[in-house]
Amino acid sequence: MPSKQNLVVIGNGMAGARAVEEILARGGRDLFNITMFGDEPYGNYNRILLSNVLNGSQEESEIFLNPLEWYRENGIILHVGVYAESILRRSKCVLGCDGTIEPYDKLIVATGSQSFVPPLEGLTLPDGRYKPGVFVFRTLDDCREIAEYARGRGRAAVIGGGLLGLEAARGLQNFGVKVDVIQFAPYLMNQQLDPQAAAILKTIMERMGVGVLLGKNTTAVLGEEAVSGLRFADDTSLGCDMVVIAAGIKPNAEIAARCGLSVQRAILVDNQMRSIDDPEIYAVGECAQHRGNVYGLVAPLWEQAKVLADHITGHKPDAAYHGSKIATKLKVMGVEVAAMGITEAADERDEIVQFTEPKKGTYKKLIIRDGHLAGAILLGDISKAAYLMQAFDRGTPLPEDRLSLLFDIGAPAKQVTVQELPPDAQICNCNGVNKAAILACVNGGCHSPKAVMEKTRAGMGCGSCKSMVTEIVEWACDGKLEEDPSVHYYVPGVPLTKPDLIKACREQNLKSVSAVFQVLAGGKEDAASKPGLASLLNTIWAGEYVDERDARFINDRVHANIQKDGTFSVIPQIPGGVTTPDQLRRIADAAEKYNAPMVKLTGGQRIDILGIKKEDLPNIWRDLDMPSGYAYAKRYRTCKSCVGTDLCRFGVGDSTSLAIKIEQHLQGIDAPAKLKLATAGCPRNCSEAMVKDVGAVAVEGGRWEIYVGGAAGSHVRKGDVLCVVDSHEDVLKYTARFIQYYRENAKYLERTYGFVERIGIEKIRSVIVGDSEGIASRLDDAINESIAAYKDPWKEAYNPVTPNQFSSLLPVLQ
Amino acid sequence: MTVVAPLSAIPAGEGRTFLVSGKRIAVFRTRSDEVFATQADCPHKAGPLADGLLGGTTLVCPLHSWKWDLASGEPLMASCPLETYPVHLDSEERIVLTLNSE
Amino acid sequence: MQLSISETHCPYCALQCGMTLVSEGGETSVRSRDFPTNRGGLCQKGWTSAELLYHPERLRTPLLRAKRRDALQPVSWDEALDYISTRIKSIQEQFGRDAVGVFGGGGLTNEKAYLLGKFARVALRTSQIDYNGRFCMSSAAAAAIKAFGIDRGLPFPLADIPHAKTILLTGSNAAETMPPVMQYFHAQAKNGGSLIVVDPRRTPTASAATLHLQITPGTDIALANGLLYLAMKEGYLDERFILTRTTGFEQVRGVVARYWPDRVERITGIPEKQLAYAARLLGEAPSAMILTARGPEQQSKGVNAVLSFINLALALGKAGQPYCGYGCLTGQGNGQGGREHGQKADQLPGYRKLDNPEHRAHIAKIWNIPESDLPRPGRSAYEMLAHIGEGDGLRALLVFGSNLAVSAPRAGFVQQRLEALDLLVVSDFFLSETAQLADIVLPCTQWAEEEGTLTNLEGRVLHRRRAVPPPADVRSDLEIIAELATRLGCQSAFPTQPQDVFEELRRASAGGPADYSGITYERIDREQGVFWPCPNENHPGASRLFLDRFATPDGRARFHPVQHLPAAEEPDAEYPLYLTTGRIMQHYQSGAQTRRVPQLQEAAPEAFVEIHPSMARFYGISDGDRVRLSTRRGTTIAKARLTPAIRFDTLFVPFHFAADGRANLLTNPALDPVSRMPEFKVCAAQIQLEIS
Repeated sequence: MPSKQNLVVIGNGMAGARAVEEILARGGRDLFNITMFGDEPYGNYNRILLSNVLNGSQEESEIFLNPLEWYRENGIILHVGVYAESILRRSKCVLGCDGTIEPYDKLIVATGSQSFVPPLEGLTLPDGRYKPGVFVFRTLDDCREIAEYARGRGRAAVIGGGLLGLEAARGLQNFGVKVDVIQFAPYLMNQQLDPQAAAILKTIMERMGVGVLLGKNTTAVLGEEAVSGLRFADDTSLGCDMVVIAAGIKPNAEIAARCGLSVQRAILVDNQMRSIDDPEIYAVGECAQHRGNVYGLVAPLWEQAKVLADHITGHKPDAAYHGSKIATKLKVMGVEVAAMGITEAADERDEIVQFTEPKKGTYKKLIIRDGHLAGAILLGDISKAAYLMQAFDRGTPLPEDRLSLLFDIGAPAKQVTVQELPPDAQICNCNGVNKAAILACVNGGCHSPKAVMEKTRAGMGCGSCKSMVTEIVEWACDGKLEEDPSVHYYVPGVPLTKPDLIKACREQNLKSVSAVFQVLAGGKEDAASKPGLASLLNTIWAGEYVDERDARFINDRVHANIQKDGTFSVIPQIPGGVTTPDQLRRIADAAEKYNAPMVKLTGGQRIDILGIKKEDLPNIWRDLDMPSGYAYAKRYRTCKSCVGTDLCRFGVGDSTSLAIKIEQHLQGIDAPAKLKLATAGCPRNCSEAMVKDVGAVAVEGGRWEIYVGGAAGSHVRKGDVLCVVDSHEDVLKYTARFIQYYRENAKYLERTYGFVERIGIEKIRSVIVGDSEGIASRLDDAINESIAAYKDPWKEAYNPVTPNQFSSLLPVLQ
Repeated sequence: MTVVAPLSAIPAGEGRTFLVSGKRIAVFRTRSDEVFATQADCPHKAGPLADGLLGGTTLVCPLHSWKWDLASGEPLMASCPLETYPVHLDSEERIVLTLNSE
Repeated sequence: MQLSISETHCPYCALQCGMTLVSEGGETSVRSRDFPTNRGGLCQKGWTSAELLYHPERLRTPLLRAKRRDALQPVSWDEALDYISTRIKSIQEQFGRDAVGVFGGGGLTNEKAYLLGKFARVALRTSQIDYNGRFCMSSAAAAAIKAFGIDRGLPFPLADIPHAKTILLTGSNAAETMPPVMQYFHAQAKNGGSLIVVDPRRTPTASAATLHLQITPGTDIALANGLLYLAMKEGYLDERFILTRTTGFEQVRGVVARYWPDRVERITGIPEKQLAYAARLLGEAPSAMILTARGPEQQSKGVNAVLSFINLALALGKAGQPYCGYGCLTGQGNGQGGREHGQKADQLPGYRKLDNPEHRAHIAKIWNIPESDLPRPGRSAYEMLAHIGEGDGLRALLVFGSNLAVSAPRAGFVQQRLEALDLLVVSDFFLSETAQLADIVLPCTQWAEEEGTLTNLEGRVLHRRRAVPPPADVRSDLEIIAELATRLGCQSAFPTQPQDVFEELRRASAGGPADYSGITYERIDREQGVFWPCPNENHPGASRLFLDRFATPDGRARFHPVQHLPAAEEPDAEYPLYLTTGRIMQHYQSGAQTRRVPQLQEAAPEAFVEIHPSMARFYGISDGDRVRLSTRRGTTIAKARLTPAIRFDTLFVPFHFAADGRANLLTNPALDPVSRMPEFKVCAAQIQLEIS
C-alpha cells in the first residue's frame, strides 16, 4: 500500500466538512492524512438553519452537524479557530495565522463566503469596529449578537430584501422590534421571484407590520456612538436602533487570489471542482465559481462535494459536476414561498401556466419548456411544491393536464351515497366484490344482507365493509328487504323473538323446555337453546315452571361452578360481605376436610372454596350449613357493599344493611345474564356501585342514587342514574322492578350494560319510574312471585332431584 | 358385553360417567330414551363430557362448547372425532355396552 | 358417505388464516373457522383455495426428458429418482460437490425447510442452498438481527394492534395482500388510533389510513430520518428509553441532523406539512407501532431502510414496551419458519449461523456427522442463479416449492441461466413456468394433502392438517428427499413422517435463537398455536418479545446511523419513470396456484400496469391499451390501467403473471450488500403504446 498523502482542507463550514465526509465515505482515511483549518471555534454546523436559531425555532445544539469528537474519531487534525493565512503553492503548504505550517499533496479550499457589506458612510467607529447596532447576518456569533442587542430595542432595519434579508427580518420580528426591509432592487427576492409575486409578498409583509422600501440605495449609517438611522441616496432617511446587513454574499477568495489562482467573483473551477490553474488544489462551496455560477445554497454544495470526493479519491475518476438546479423554500412572515429555476420565460417557445389570487395572497406560475419544468414560483399555497420540485430536479415529463400541476385534484373523493357509487366501485377488498356483483346477487333473489354476504363473500374477510354491503342491499331491495330474522330469535333453536316467544308460551301454556321444542320448534331439540329457554320459562311461570334438569347447564344442575379440571368451586352466601367467626370456622373446616387446593376471597365479598369434587358437593354443603351464593349461574349473584355509616368516617347512608336486604330480597332470581349489584355509603364509590348492573349510592340527605347498566368487566361502563330515592324500601322496589323489566326484555346473555344502551335510559326510566306503560305493578307482582318461589338449591344435598346427580364416576352393574 | 346400569340410572337428556373394565366411559340418554356411549373426556382439554348439554344426538362439552354427533362421534365443531362404543337397551331396560376390544 | 372435517390453514400468505375443510365424496369445501389470526374471515384466495385439490392440471406422475428439446414423458418414481441420483453423482464427481445446488421456498413447511437444509449439507454436502425468501423477507430479517438480536416478524401478537395509538405502516398493501388482517387496523381506528400508510400508490390500505404519505419509490430512509429529525426538533425523543435500553444514538443524532424538512420533502416528495403531522402523530402517541413490508425492504438498501425505521421507533421509545414495537409483515405462508431452519445459504436450524463454531458443533452432533463435514456458507439466491454456467457455478439445481422463472429479478436472464444447467429438477404439484424448463419434474403433495407446521408472521407455530388423501402416485417432499438421500448413499436418517421430522427439528433448534424445543403437535392443537421461542414443554411460548430486554448480548437495542442513497437506478432522460412492483388481492406470488383458480383468474386474468391518467395522456395511452414497458433489462407487455391513485412519475406492475407479462423481466437485480435482497421495488422505466 502506498504511503498516505497529506490532504489539507481550508475551511470547516458545511462545504469543507461535507467534502471530508464524502472523502471518508470513499475510504479516504486510508488514502490521506487529513488536516483542517476552521476559523470558527466550533465543529461545523448547518448554516441554512441559522435563521431558525435566530427566530428561536431551533436550539444551537441541534444545527451542529459534526461535534468535535467526530474529527477525533476519524483521525482528522482540526486547527480550531485557526485562520489559514496563505497558500505556498511552490512548497505545497498552508500557513496558519498561529504559525502552523501544514504541507499538502492535495488541498481543498472551502473558505465559504462572508456577508457582502456595501461601502456605507458611518458604518464603523473611528477604531474600525462596526458601530454598535450594525450587524451582518452570517454566523452563529452574528445570530447571538443580534438576538442580544435586539432585546428591548424599538426599531430595526434590514438592508437587503433577498432570501437572507427576509429571514433576518422574520427573526427580528420575534424580538418585538418594528422591522423595515430596505431593498436596492425594484422588488423583493429578485433572485427567486418575478415582480408580480414580489408585489403580493410586499403587501402581505406590510400587513404583518414590516416596512418595505424598494429601489432604495443606502448611503450612510446615522448615529454617533450607536446606530440611530439610515440615509439613502434620494436623501430620505429612516430612524432605527439597529441595522442588519443581509445584502448578499462575498466569496472568501483572497487567499486563493494571493497565491495566483484565477478568481473572478470566486475561485474558478473545472467540472472536477479543481482550480483551473492547479490540479492539486480543489475548491468547493460558496468560494467556488463553476460555469459563472456561485452557489449559496446547501444542495449544490453537497453535489459539488460528492464530485470532488469521487475524483480526489479516484473512486470515480470521470466524475463531473454540471451545475445545480436551484430551488428554494421558505416561510416569510407566515407566507410560504417556493421558487425554482428561471423566473421569466426566455422566449415564446416557453409555455407559461399562471394563477393569481392577490386578495388571498396566492400566486402560482410555472414555466414549461418542451414538456419539462424549467421554473416555478409558488406563493401562499405551496401544496404542490413537493411534487414540482421533484419534477424540476429529475426532469420527469409533466402530465398533460396542467391544472393538476397547480392544484390537488383527483384527491380522495368525498363520501358518496350508495346510490351514487358507480357499479364497478370495489365494496369488499378482501373478496374483490363490487357494487354490481352485490346488485346482481340481490336481483338473483337474495334479499338479506346475510344471504348476500354468504353468496358473494363480501364482508367475509376483514369484515370492515359489512355496513356498506348492508346499506347497498337495503337500498337495492328498497322495501322488500328480508333481513335475516334469526338474528332476532331469543334462542337459535326456536324461530321466535322474545316477546313472541313469551306470548306463545303463555297462550299455549308451555311450562317446560321440552314442551317448547315440541310445540314451537317442530320437536327438534337444540342444546344451545336449552339454558336460555329454562331461564325464560322460569321468569314467566315462576312457581309453576316445570323444571327439567337436562335443560340446565352443568353448573345449574349441581349448583357449583365447574373448573377447567372438572372440579367445582363452592361459594356460600355471605350477605353484604358480613360474616361471623362461626361461619369462617365452618368454611375453614370444610376446606380442610375436602382438601380444597385453594380458598380465595372473591370480588363479590364472599369466600370461594375451589377444587371440590362433584361427589363431595352435597357433603360440603351439609357441613357448611349455609345457603348457596349462586356464584355459578345466570342469576342474581351478590350485592357488594362498603362499611357504610356504622364505622366509616365519610358514610352518609347505611350501605351494609341495605346490601343485606337486597340480597335477602333478590337471592337466586334468574335472569338472561348474571347480575352483580353493590351499595355505596357515599359517592366515593368504594364498593364500585357505579359500575355494577345495579348500584345504590348514598348521597347527602339520606337519599340514594340508583345506577343501572354499569359494567367493569371486559367491557367498562359507568351506570346511568335511574332515579334518586329516599329509603331502603324504595331502593328495593325500583331495583326489583328494573330487574323484572330486564328479565322480560333482555336478549339471552345480554348483560344490563348492553340492555340499557339498547333500550335507552330515558325509556327505561319512564317505564320503571314514570310507569309510562302502566306495567309497573305487574312487574312488581311478577318479581315478587319469583322471589316467593325461591328455594335454596343446596338443600338438594339432603334429597337429590335426579338419579346420581352428584356422582362423577359410577360402577357398572355386571 | 357389559351391563352398565338400568336406564333409570341416567336422567333423560343427561349423561353419566361409568367405569367399564378400568375404562372411563360416558353414557348418554336422550329425551327420546336412546342411549349412546363415548369416551369420557373431551379430547380438547379433558372436559367431563357426561356433564355436557344434549340436543337430540348433539353433545356440547361443558368447558369450551366443542360439539359432536353422539351417533357417529364425528365432530360438528371440533378438531377430532370421539371414540364411540356400541350400546343398547336389553329387554329389562338395562343399558348394555360392548367395548371395541371385545 | 364418509364426511371428514379438518381444521387447518390457508395455503397462501403469512397470516395463515385458520379454515375448516369439509370433504365429502371427492368434494371439498372451505368453511370459516374462528382462529386467533383471522377470527373467521378469509379473502377470495382463501375461500377458493379448495379448487387447487382435484385440479385437472394437477401433476400425478414424475416426468422426464433425456434431451432438452424433447417433451417431458411420464416415468416411474424409481426411474426418475435413479436418474437424478446418477446424474448428481457424476456431476459432483466431475465438478465437485458445490456444482449441485438446492433452491427452497418460503411456502414449505418447517419440516420440509429443515429436511431440505439437512439434505443439502449432509446428503449432497454442498454449500449451495438458498431459497426464495431471500427475495422476500431477508432485509427485515437482517435489520432485526442487527438491532434487536433476533428476527421474529412481529414481536407481539396481532391482537395487540388495536391497542396501539398510532401505527406507521410502510410499503404494505395489507388490505389486498393479507386482507383479513385489516380487522385489527379497523379495530385500532375504532379505538381512536391513527394509521399512517406510506406508499407511492393510494392503495385500499392507504385509503383506510388517517394519513397517507405518497412517497417517491426508494426514498424511505430519507423519510424515516426526516421524521426522526422532526421528533428531535419537537422534543418527542424518549431520552430515558434511549439511555437505559439502547446504544449508539449519538451517531444517529449526527446523521439525522442533515434531514431537515424541506430537504426531505424534496427527496421524498412528501409535503412538509404531512411530515410534521406524521411526526406529531407518532411523537405524541403513548403507544405506537412501526411496521414495514416489502416496500422499503425490497431495495438495494433494504436493510438500511428497515434500520432507519427501527431507529425512529427506538428514539421515540416505541419498542420493547406494551403495544409498541417495530414489526415486519412477513409475506409468504411460511416466510417466518422458512427462514429459521436451514434452507438459507448461511444458516442452520434454530436460526443458528453456519459460520459459528458452537452452532456448527451442535447441529453436527444432532445430525451425527463430523463438524468438519458441514459445508461453509454458500451463495445467496440470485448470485447462485447468476453464476450458473460459470467456472465455479452450478451444473445442477434441485428446486422445491419455488417458481423462479417468474419470481426472480431480471427473470429473462435467470431463465437463460436455468436453461444452461446440465440438470434441473423441480418438485411441484403443477407444471409451473420453472417446471416447464426442468429435465425432471417430481409431482409432490400439496397443502391439504399433507401434514406439517408453519410459523406465521406473529411467530406463532401452527399445525396444518391433512384434509384429503393425495392422488395415488404423488409423494411428499419429505419422501422425495429421503429417497434421494438413500440413493446418494447417505447414511444419516431422513424421517418421512412430518411429526418425526418435527421432533428432530425440536432437538436441533434447542438452545438456538428460534427455539422450538418446547413445542409439540399436541400443544399446537390444544393452544391454537404456540409462539417461539419456547425452550421447554412447560414454557407458555413468548407471544411478546423485548418487554424487559432485547435479544442482544447486553440486552440493549442497537441504533445504526444510516444515510439516504439514491436507488441503484434512478429515472433519466431515456427511462424517465419510476417502476415499482407488488401483489394484488386475487393472486399469490408467482401465481402458479392462483392463476389456476377460475374465480381468481377471471377476476384478474392478465398483467396490467397502473399509470396516472394525465401521465398516460402525455404518452397518448388510454385505459385498456396494450402497452410496452421497458427497462435496461427487458420488456413486458401489459394492459394499461389508468388510476389517479398512483404518483404522476410512477408505474406499478403486479408480478404474478407469466410469459411476456412477467414484471420481473424488468426488475433490477442490484443487491443489498447485507441481505442480498434484489431491488424489486424501484427502477427506471419507459412506457409506450404497443403497436401490434
